[in-house]
Amino acid sequence: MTRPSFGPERTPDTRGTDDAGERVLATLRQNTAEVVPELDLALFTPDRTLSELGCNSIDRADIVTMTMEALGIVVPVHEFHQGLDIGTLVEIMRKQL
Amino acid sequence: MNDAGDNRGSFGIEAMDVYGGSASISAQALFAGRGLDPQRFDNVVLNRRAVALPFEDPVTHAVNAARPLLDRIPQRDRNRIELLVTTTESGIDYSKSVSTYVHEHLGLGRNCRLLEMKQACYSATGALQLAVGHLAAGISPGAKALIISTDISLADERAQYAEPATGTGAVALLVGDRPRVLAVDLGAFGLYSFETLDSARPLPDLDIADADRSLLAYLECLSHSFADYRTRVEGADFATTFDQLALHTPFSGMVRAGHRRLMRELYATSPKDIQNDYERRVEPSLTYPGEVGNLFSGSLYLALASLIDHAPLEGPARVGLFSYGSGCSSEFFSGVVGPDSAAEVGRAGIKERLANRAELTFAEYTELLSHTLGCLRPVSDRTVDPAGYGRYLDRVVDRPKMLALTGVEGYHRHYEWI
Repeated sequence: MTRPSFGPERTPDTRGTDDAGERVLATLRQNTAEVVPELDLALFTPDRTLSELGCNSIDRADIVTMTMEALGIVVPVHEFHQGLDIGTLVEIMRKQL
Repeated sequence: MNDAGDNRGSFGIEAMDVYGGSASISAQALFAGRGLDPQRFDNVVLNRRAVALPFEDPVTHAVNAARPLLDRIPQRDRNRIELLVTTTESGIDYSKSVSTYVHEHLGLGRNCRLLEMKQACYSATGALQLAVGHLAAGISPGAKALIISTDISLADERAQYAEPATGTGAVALLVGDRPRVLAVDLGAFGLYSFETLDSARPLPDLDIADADRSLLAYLECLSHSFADYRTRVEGADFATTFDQLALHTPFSGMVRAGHRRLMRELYATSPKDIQNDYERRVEPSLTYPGEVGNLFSGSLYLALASLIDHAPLEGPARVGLFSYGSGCSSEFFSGVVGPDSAAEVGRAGIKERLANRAELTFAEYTELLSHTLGCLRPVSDRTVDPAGYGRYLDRVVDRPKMLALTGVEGYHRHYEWI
């Protein structure tokens, strides 16, 4: 699994920019808005984590579960862990499409 | 259906009791003391959590849960306990089981099997199902099993939001052929297990947990263990087969997420209907977990006791139960409760004993934590003086006699009734 590197000199994050990635990203974004309606979606960018956006662990599980259901995929549990940024979440889901 | 005189051929829980600590701290005090954001626990049932005193360990918890239960049953029933299992993720020795000390201090007969079982929070359910299967095989008619789940919290500020939700204590279940508390539906179960590292206790004083992986594993296991249940039980329907539900309750948000997922996945139920169903079928199970905190493998049975003490039980009611243990192994099973269950569990006076615990301030709690976090660390010799904590015990209302650890000598633990 690729992990993003954090830091000021980070190169632009281009993950999730092909069609499949866009579809996952859009579904994830839509479910995030549904689970946490008060969220500022301008903050929904690949380099941020859902926690940074204000989602608690239950919100995150709901968002991920609803996204998997909507896309008709199952991501093995071991692929998930705390602190994944949105770009990485999209990557691990896109692999299952 | 589960009347004591008319349940031939059924097996399950005859009596139960809970030890939810002698001291507790309010979630509010702990949130304030740690500077946690109270908004984070919106809609979560969490009032207080149990706190261990420095002379308590998995042995004393187990004995202090089972002693009042054994005192309520006739001697002839105590004599038929042929299997004692302690289930714990708070072991005190790689070889010698917690059950050996528990057997001694409960004064059980010597013609008895002693075991300790471990599979995180699933182990009590594993033990219950194996015991029920063993008893139902009929090879020792009238025999009883005593299963005691017992655990110690290692949560401190490193656990962040898990700290206010992590409890300490034990649940004792007497299992036999007069299941006044819960008649287990024989053969009605569903299993789902696979290897993952979502939470673990790799050292005697270290818990590790990945909240996201753990929650997703719990949800996947609930969904798949119920699917397996459906393959074994013709016509089983999550929404209509079970009058009540009791789920492993690390904190109530996880239970809410699990219930919501199944209702959405199986029936595409609307959020409003999910909420109504949750209030009716799930919330009665959450009161005691919200007073004690996560009881590890005892958690499901603390939820069951809560359900029996709080749900209206005017006739037989089927309960769906879900047990999950990190690592992971899980089971969805069912059983029947009724007015007799309410009478039997009511005799334990769980609500009153929880209310009678000593209330701690945040400063007292952190001071105690410095003595209790090393509880499971092996040491060959040490002395513990329970009298040194009299100021806490004096606050317990109507305190029953309790077993206390008084020291360790050559790795041998010594206990006294205080």
